[in-house]
Amino acid sequence: QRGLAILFALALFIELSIAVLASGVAAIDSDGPTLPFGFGGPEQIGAAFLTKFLLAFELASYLLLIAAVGAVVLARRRGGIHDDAETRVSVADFLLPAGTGTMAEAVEGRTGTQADRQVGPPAGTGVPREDA
Amino acid sequence: METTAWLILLFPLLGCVVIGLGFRALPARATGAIGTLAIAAAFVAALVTTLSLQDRAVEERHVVFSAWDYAVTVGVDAELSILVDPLSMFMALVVSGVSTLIHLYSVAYMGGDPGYRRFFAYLNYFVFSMLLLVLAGNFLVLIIGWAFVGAASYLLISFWYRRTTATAAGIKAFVINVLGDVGLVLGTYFIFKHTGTLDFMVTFERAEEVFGRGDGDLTAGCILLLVGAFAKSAQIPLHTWLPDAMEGPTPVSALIHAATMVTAGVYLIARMHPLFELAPAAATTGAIIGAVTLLVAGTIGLAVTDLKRVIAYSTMSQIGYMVMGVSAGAYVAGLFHLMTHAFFKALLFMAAGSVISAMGGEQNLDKMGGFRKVMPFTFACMVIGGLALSGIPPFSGFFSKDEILLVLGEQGGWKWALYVAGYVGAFLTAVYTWRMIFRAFWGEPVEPARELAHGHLYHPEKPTNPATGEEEDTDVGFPGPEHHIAEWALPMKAAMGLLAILSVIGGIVLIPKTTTWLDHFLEPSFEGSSVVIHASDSLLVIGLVLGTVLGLAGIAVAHYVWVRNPGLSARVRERFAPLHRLFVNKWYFDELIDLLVVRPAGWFGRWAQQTFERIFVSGSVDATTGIVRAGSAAVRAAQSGFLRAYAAMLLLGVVAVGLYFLIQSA
Amino acid sequence: MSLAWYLVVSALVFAIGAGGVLTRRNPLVVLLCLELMLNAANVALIGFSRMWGNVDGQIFAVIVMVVAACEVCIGLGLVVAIYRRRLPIDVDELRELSG
Repeated sequence: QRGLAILFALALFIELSIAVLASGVAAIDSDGPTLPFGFGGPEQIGAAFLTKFLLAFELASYLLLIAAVGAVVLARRRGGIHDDAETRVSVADFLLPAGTGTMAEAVEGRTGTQADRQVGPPAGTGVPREDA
Repeated sequence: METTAWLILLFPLLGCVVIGLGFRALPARATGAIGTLAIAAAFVAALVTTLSLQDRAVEERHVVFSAWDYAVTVGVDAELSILVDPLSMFMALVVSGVSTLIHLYSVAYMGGDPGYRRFFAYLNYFVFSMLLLVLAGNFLVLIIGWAFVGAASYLLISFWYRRTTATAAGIKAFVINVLGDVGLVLGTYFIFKHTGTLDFMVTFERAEEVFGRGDGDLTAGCILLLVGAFAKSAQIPLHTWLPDAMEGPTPVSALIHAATMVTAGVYLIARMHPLFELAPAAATTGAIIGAVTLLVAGTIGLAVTDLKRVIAYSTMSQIGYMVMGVSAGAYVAGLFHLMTHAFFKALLFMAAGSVISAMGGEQNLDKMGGFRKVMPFTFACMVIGGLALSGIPPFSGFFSKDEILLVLGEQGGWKWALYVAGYVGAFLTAVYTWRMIFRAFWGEPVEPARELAHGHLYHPEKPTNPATGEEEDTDVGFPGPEHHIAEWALPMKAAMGLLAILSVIGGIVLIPKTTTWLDHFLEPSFEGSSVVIHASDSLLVIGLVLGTVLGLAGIAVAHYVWVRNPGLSARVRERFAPLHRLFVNKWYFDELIDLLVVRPAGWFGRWAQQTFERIFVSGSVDATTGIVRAGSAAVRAAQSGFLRAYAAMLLLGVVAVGLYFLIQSA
Repeated sequence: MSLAWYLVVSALVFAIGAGGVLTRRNPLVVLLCLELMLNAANVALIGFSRMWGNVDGQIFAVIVMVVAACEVCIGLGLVVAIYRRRLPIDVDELRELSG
């Protein structure tokens, strides 16, 4: 399967190259027209967005919004679906315990307060941790 | 006259509808009264119509009334039209008159039957259909009436529908009737093809121009019409339904299978006489079949033991006479016999019904005997009917039967064979009729007769099917628990009395050489007939004497065998055992039809189901679904859910499109 | 630099991306290769824009980037959801939408 895919990719490349090089677009070999300075710069693009391509601009932003909402919905944790072993992920899970990580390496393992090895969720989330 | 003509049809129809729709609400006796009054009203209407018809000049006595057109644009003149002429009025009077009396009889006879109201609704429907048939003015209405009458016959034969023998008989009658319907329709087509019209009067006018004598299509058409007539009138070979039709209640047998429906075939041939005269082959066929039937039925009547079936075979035989007569050109004689036969046959059936009631539902002659003294009225009616049937003067049957044979004798040639057959048949008729009467009324009184002598009616402990002996109950679908005999029921007595009187004096309308009322009445219908009848006096006298002698001889023979010499019949039966078997098994017609028609139909059905249906029909349907399934399975394989496969397809498609454009632009 | 070079580069990157999409089993890597293809298209677009000398191609490229971003966002959300359900993160195994 892998070999086939590589072959296919090769075939695709060759075809596209042929398409490009063998086409009769005259300008391909040329350097292109002389363009004013600032062509393709941010001002020009911004101006184009807000005048000629305003609709595209708005729609694109709309699409981004939808995508963001959709991603959140997809990745949301729903009640009752997870089994016992599944834990809820919260911000605290990503906090390394104090005294670990690169800082720990830097201070060679000695930290200030090690009283709390058991890092629980911040007060107020109300989610019980089921395993230590 | 138009209103009264339509009223003839309207009254029975109304009666049927009123009873049919209101049967839950109406009390039983009321339905009986409504039914009888409806037919009586139809009879009165027929009478009035006839009188106003007679007021007209002789040339104008064919009137066609049309209610509406069915199909105007197709080129076919299909209308709802009725024809009022002497022939149809004659038939209408006979049908409605005898029907009224039978309705009256049934009011008492069917008392106590759970299906009483349904019975009267069906009876009215039947009378309506029969009147529609005889009043029809074109082939279309004739076919409609024909089919309706067949349906009514089916409904009434299987009236006691929980009896398997009755339903089987009903189906048999209906199937054979449908065969006749097919013949009728095809015959109509053959005739219509050339004349281009469905109307009777127009057809008859055009027949001479359009058809030459002995034309092939006309002969074919007439023979097909004959098929229809034979099926309805129970002639050989389409006769097997009539004896089985005795499963229906006795009034039904009296009405349908004696007086009216079975005479429809005779009416058809008489009505189509211009066509039959142009197709002598068809007419000959009719005459020969009529003769054969009357002989065969006569022989069977000598051997069967069920009371109603003896009378049924007698009907078949007498209709053989009528068919023979009208096919040979003796129209008035044949119709005269139709009328007298209606009287005395209905009377015989009614008397038989009375006897069967006295026996508590038993119909077997072997178990009857000695009712002479206990049922005097019934006995008298039976004797009158028997004398009329045997053709003893001065009863009506004598004049009518001899009239037919006279005309046959006049025509001469090969018709002498028919003449002889007719007289042989007359002898047989007398023998089997009086066999029946002697066996039922003479001899030692059986138990029901003895009980009746004490004044109460015999009831069997458990009601049983008279043919097979199966047990039944008296709920709806089976006969009711009550039995009625003529001596104790006034309506029955009145109806039978009237018919007895008519059987005695009915001959008066056409006594040869003396009265010619019927002849003059029917003449306008049969003018233009190419059959001219010269009645030679010598033949007339010979015929009359021969008829009387044969009738009396038959009675004497029957008396000798069954009264004087009780053991003689058993000994004769042994001597001629094969012959007796042939007669008792009805000449094996049922078995023949089973072999030729029913079994092949069964084989064909089975072959059709197993081979044709399974392989071709189901096969092709399954093949189609199989192809669709396979196709969709193939396509479904592409829906593997395999992301990489989808991606591959996508990219392949892109490559293909690109290649296409490349090649195109190159 | 003539336009041809840009287009050849675009084609090359596109082909590599296509190969990756077809070959890899990890959905994250598939998404990555998908990005590659999109960006290859962007390069081509920009090249053409330079050739014709108007800004339309570049605007188009920016919009394409926006769309790519949205799509990757949703894709990653799906992957997270799959992980949460303890299903194997393997494109071959996730076949329940089959016919």
